[in-house]
Amino acid sequence: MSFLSIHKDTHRIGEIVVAGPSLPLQKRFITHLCNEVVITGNSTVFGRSKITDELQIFFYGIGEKENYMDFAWDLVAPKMLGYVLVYNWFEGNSFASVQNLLNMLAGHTDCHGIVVGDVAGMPIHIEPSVYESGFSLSSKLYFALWDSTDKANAKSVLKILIDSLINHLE
Amino acid sequence: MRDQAHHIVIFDKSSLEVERLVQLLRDNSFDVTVLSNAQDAYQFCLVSQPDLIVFDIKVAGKEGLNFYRQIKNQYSTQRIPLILTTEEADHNKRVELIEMGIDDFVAKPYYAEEVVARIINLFQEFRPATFISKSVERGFIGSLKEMTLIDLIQTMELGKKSGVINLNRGDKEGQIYVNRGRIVDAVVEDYDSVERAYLHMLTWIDGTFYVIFQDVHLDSQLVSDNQALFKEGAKIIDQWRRAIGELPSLHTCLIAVKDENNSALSYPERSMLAHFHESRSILQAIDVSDFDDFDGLKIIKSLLEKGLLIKTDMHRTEKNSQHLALHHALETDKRDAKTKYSHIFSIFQRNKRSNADNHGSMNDKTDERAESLLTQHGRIKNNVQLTKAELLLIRQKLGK
Repeated sequence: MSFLSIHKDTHRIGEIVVAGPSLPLQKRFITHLCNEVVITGNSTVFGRSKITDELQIFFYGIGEKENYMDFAWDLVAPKMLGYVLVYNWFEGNSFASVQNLLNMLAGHTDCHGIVVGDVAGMPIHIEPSVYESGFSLSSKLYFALWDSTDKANAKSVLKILIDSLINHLE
Repeated sequence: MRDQAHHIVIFDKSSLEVERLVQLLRDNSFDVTVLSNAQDAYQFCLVSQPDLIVFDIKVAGKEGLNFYRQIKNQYSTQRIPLILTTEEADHNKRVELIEMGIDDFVAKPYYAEEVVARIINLFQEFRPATFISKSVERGFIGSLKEMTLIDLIQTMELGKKSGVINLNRGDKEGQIYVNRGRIVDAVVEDYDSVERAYLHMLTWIDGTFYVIFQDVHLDSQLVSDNQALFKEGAKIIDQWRRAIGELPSLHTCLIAVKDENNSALSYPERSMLAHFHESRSILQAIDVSDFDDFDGLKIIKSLLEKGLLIKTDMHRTEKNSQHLALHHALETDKRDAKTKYSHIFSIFQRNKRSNADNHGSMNDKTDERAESLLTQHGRIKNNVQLTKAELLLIRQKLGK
């Protein structure tokens, strides 16, 4: 936790929760976006992305289902920029788990969010524009495909979330 | 492919950089006009209403800043997206510029390709539905029946807010500019005097409004302060309500009855009657006449009592129904979003139940415990902690 405490008081910080049933996926997503990544002993990933000297984004990756209950949703949800729910496109259990998590988050918060299906290894070619655009499920919820082997894809996902926030901000 | 070419105005001094940008924009099917004088650029934007403006605030020193303020203060141009090209490298200064209302900025020297990409991006952002939502999200919308102009101004005065109150009567629209809670300007068609425009709009007790909060860089055009205007306004609204009490709706269309024996009428009555040779609403006739609102209303009432005006079957005409359309679009957008969201949500709820049937009790308990962490706080309201400027910086970085 020292990683957080060093920076939190001196910078403007946006917080994003990256959740889903598979911690390696979250870790990969966060690694693609962050300058620094820290994995804690209790299977949680923290990432920091420096935008400017004064502005940073913190990513909280929570991977294992048991960790959802330990995560301080009540503290983070009121102020976070949004959430990214990552699942493996090819696994039914992964999809079902994200459904439940989405049900919980969408039902009890009005945060912006994006559901991301990892299609790495898909035998057919997917046009880059498909990754970049995503589509809207509601005014604050999007869906996008993600190739977890491609760093640029994670940026596209985050861009969709940020665009959604900008469009809603007063 | 776009249905119609977007028109872009570039306000900058001539340079190879600008020429390259113009060429690339034209290659991408944009119509481009380049102007290097601030006043020419402003006048041109007023007339041509371009879809986007690209400008360098330092191009003409103070004139560049004035140009920006003029564009943002003029109702008809304030919603045109602006991209600033700047040599300003300081982060704080850039944030300041974005917070002033600049939609995007590009550091100079720039790659023309980057500017074109941003322009395309901005046009996607400012597509009509988004634009409507954005406009209203910065303020609020409502009916003048429920909230009068006086109520609106008093609300803004209490919060020391700045912005534009846009009013629509159905067939006419007007604007009241408020700076830190004080009325500084009032604009409505056919009324040159600011006081008269304000007093005229007080009689609009049936119609819609929307308020946009924004900086208003205008010196006050009014002699009276808010309190004096409120006092006068409350009196007028009361008198107006009593005056229209016995009349049909002011949007009712009337026509003059042909009667050769009009010699007994007063000059004002004959003059007003002449405006009803063709079907007109009461409001329209008052507007085109030389009489003020109260006198006009009194004369029409007299003509109705004498049976010289009769109702026609024509419905009220809504020449400028932008506000009503906006209101309608907003409501539809909200309804659609809610329906879509509820639909998605209900699917997940059903899926959750079926999942619960298929999975072990440990998983269910985990879900329940996690959910209880949220439900015990009710529905959590999220307030994004970063400003729009900061989010734009993030997006800019992601775009690289």
